[in-house]
Formats: sequence, C-alpha cells, structure tokens
Amino acid sequence: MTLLLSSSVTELPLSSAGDVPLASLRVGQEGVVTVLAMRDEARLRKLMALGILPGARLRLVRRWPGYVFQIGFSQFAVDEDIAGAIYVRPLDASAAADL
Amino acid sequence: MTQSVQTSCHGPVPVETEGMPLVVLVGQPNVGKSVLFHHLTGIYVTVSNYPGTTVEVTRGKGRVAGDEFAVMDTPGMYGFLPITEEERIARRLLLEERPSLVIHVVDAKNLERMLPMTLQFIEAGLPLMLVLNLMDEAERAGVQVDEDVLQRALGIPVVKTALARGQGVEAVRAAVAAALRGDTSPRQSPAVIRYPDQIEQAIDRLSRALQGEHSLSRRMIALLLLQGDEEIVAMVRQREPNPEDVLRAVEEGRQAFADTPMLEIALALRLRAAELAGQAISVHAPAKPGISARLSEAMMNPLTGILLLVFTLFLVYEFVGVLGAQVLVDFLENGVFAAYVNPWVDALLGRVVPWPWLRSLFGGEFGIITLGIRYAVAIVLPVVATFFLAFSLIEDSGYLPRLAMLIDRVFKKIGLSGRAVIPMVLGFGCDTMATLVARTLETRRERVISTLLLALAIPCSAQLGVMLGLLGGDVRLLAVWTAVLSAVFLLVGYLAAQVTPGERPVFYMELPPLRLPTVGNVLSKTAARMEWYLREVLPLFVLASVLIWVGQLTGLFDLALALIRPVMHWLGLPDQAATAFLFGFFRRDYGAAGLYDLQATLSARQLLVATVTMTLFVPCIAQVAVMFKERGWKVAVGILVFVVPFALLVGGGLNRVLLWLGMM
Repeated sequence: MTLLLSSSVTELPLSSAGDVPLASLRVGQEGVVTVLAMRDEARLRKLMALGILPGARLRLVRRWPGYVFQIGFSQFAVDEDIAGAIYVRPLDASAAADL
Repeated sequence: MTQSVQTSCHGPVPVETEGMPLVVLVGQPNVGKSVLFHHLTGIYVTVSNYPGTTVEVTRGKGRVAGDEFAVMDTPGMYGFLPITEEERIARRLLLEERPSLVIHVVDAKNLERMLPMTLQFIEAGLPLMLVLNLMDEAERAGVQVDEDVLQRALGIPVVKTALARGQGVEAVRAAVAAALRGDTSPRQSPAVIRYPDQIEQAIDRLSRALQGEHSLSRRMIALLLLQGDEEIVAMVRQREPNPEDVLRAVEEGRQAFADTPMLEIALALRLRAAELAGQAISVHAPAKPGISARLSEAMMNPLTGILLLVFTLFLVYEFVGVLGAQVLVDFLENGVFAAYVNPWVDALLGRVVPWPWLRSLFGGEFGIITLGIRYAVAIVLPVVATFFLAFSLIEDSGYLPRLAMLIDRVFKKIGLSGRAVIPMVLGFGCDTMATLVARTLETRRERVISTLLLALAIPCSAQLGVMLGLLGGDVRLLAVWTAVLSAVFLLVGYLAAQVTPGERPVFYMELPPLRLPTVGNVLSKTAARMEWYLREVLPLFVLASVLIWVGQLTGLFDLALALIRPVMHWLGLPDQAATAFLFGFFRRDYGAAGLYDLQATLSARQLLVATVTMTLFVPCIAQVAVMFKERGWKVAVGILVFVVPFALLVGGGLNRVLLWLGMM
C-alpha cells in the first residue's frame, strides 16, 4: 500500500539531507518521493495525475535501458531526465518499519 | 446540444438524442470506458492501450427499464484541471451538457490513484456514479474491494465490474436506471475532503465572492481559480456580475502560496484517497510472481527484449507478409479477379456498353473495377486486414509501452521519445492513421519529426505487402531494401533532430499489466480500423481510377508520363515504370501495386531501385491531407518539398552504387 508522509502535506522541503534522485537508487531499493524538480507545469501535473507525487512510496525495478519503478500496483517507465528530477528519500530496512 | 461539442463529433450517423437524459462516461485512458459505452449502447468504438485513441466524442443511445437515454464517451482525462486538448474537451462537455449522470470508470486495483479524480467530480457537484472496473485483474493481484465502504464514505453509487468479460453490466444498468429515476440523491454529497486551513479559508472567501449561475459547484470554481485555470477565469469574466472582485479575491487567496496551491491540493486529494482506499481495500499478495511478471521483465531486459522483438517481427512477417501478402493476395488476385471478375466485367461491358471510352472507365487496363477495385480488394485489403489484426493483438497485450521503454535511447538520437514507437509501428499498417496518432506525442518537435519519418521511410502495410511480394523471393534484395530504408530512417531522423527547433523529448509512460487479449475486443477493434480504412481508402482508389481515365482521354496522362520518363532513365528503370510512379502520385500503395504488374520485366537491380525509390516517394493523398490538417501547411509543404527530390536522389544513388559494385 502506498503511504504518505503527513509532514509532506503542509511543508515541502526543496531539498533535504538524504534525498537523492530516483536515478541513484539501487534496483529493488524503496524510497518515498519528496520533490518533483521540474519546470514544465503540464508535465508536472501529468506525473502527479499518474500518482507520482510527494509522499508516494516507490520501488526501483530496473535501471537500464530505462528506469522502471513501481508505485502500488502500477509500473512506470521514465528516462534519465525524469529519473533525475524525481527526488526520493531512500528507505532502508529500519526506516521502512516506521512507515 | 452545444456547438463546441458538435464540432468535435462528426460520426457517420448522428444519433438523435434530443431531450433524453444524458449519461456521460469519464475516466483515465485504458480503464474500459469504451467497453462500457458499447455495453450501454451496442455501438462499438476502439478500445486502446495508449492515450488519445478516443479523441472524438462518441454518442449513442441506451435503454433501461423502457426509458431511453443518451450516452457520451469522453476522451481520457487524468484530472479536473486539464492539460491536453482532449482533457479540455472532456471537461467542457461536463460543464456544458448538464448530464443527468456522470459515470466515473476506474481501474479497481489502482483505486488509490484513481480516487482523487472521483473526489474532484464529487466536489464539482456532478451527479456521480463510480464503476470499479477490471475487478478480475484486481483479484488476480490479490486486491479485494469493499464497495459498501466507498458508497457510504462518498455518498454515491459504487458498482464492481469486469466489463471486458461482461461481468457487472446488469448491475451498472440497474444503477443507471435508479439514478435516472432519481432514486438516489447524488447531489447531496457529504464533505468528502478537507484541505489545509489556508486553502479552505481561500475557498470560503472566494465562494462568497461568486454570485453567478454556474454548472459547477462554487467550491470547485474556487479551487480551479486558485490553481490558475484560465478557462475558468474566462468563465468568471463572462458570467459573474462583478468579475474583478472575484479575481482580486483569487489574487489574495494565492498570496499565501509561493506559486499556486496546486501541489498542496493534489497532495490533500491524494492523502484522502489513500485514507479511503485503506478503508475499502484489503490486499492479499499472491504467493509467487506470475508468468506475466516474468514475461514483462523479459520484454524490458535489452538482451531478451531484442530476441522477443525479433521473434515478434518474425511472427508478424509470417502472418502479414506471407499469409496476407502472398497466399491471400495470390488467391484473390489470380483465383478471383483474373479468373472470374475481370473477364466477366469486360464481357458484360462489351455487350452492354457500345462506346469504348465509357467501357474503359469501368473495365480494361485502368478501369474502376478492373484496376481500382481490384487493387483495393485483392492486393491491399488482405495485407491491411492481417496487419490490423496483428497490431490489435499486440496492442491489447500491453507489449507496446515496454517496447517504447526498450527503444527510448535509440529514438532519442533521432529527436523522438520512446512513446513515438506507437505511431511508428502503426505506420507500418497505415501512415495516415499513424500521422493522426502522432498528435499524442508531447512536443511539437516530436510531432514534426515523426510526421516526416512516417511520410518518408515507413512503408504502410499496403505498400509493404506489395514490396514484400516483389522482393520476398530473394533474401538478398530484401536485406538491401531493409538496410537502405533503416539507414535513411536513422540518418534523416538524426539530421532532423539537429535542425528542428524545440525542446528535448522526455519519456515517461505507465506500463499497463500484460493482458491476454480477448477475442471479441481484438476482432471488433480490427473491424473498426478496417471500416475506417475502407471508408478513407476505397473512394480514393475509385477516384484515382477516374483521374487516370480522364488523364488518358485528354492526353494529360501521356504528357505526364513523357515528363517522368527522363527521371526513370536516371534511376535506370524502363519506360513502363513511369506508369507505376504516376500511380504513386495518387496513392503510394497504388504505385507499388503498379510495380507488381511490371515484376517480370525488371532486373534485380531495377527492382531494388524501384522499390526503394517508391517506398521513400510521396505519401498517399489521404496522408498528405492529414499532414496539412494536423501539422499545418508550412510543415506539410516543407516535408513534401524534401521527400520528392530526396527519394529520387537515394534511388539514383543506389542505382549507381549497385552498377559500380557490379552487383545484380
């Protein structure tokens, strides 16, 4: 089940220690989206409508030839540019237990 | 019915629905809206795996418990704040048509992702019903949904279905009947969501400032204004007695936020959706990853993915290139037309029509029946039919988005994103249809480059079928033809990417689950595409025959042939090839079919040069028309001015290289 960080609803830190681009996750690693760093508003809205928005918990499935990740029961494929613009807070085993 | 919607709706038969209660279907692409439309009305429209197929608004008529009602299927939408033209049309329709019932169709297993839009429809004050479709897939994924929980929390009717398998259709019909009789009270929805205080305060202030009559709730208008929706701003200017007061309140409301509260609103919706989904859904994950998960993985792994692609292409070649283009064409061409139809038509004309000039309109070498209909039915139809069948199967399986991911890096080199693989593959079926579908690409630059490549280097199935028939006997020829076309595709794409202005393409796409296509859906989809093709193409075949007939009678045809002959000589082709190229001006595949008649008289080198040149040469009339309509005259003229000399240059160059190498 996708979980949302309640803190991300009212306050969105533009960058925070420990947040990394999706592109730097390992295959199989999980993370929670914190920031979508992109200028194009239409593209941003489209990604948000697809469910890729701060608070969404994802798991990286594949890095090559494109980035594939899973949110809930849906899989998405994105290129390097998008994967570099989606910032996530990586979850290790202990952090995952908190959520 | 309103004008703006009429213009986007030009089906063949206008369905008379004046005065009937209206049911509108809404939802994201690919969740089964079109299937529900079919179940409610009996009219089928294409169901598709990529956004943008249901571009036009489709109307129909349904009946429950003796009462008739109108049904509208809308283009897919992702949210109440529109991004694309299609979404804008879908929303305008909801605002202007005053539906008696709006049915939101969602993918049940992704309920959490779909619910924000449901919440928005409720907030907008629309009379809503929620259809949880694809329950079969959800159950396979271990997802159970309690619809009663949702029904209570949302205050609207909720129905579970698996529409592709016909499950739940009766329940939807019963709910529609109840809603149209007014048994439910959909407008009195409970407060389904509360935003952060700052936003709620801004909504309150704005709602008080609004005084006009609108087809949306004031709360929703306030929300849209806060998010900078220009269409709603225009609506306020038009309908509000004091629009400036309202717009000032919007400015004040927005001051609390860095830009617009768009992200905060989306988050609040998502959070509420997660809460609702958490109450209504229980998940029991299946024990082991199924075969479809492993197949999906194999499709995206470059190594196995390329092997699967080659294997798929081989199967498609066997089906379309061998069964369609060779076996069926041979049967229809020689077994039916040459043996029965043409002799019969000529004999009949000989007896009934005394004037040779009129006889030649219908029969003889270039007649409407003996040439126009023969090409359409015997040479083109089998290839197009087998291709569309194969394409529908592949499309419904969910393979194309995975292929798009696999090929994205290569496509980036030619200025396209992986998403463009869909129009490109479709182009092998019909370049005209593919040029239309190219409108779903995100940037103008991608649309221009893909239109150019479709016009130049992607042979349509009619043409491809004839080319394969011509070259298929000799693997070397087929290999050179493929190599030259691939090189042209990549080279021209690369150069076009260098010179076409605009932003870099980006790729992001949902990968729908792999699905076993259902026979009914594949067949009706193929039938819909065939119908479209025959309606667009057959008249042009007849028209081409008439034009050639006129050209011959007036001597214009001979004049044109005399002009083309020097070009043929430059290409190293015999005089007769001029006729095929002249046909090519009327239809690309028509020209290719003309070559088919010449086959016996051409050497291997000539055959190769002719097929390469013809493939690259001008697109058919229908495609040119769509190019003008979709991309504008500047782009269309630019592409044509490039394609014609370029095709001849490549053909002539190939001829000289082959001569120099002493091959063939």
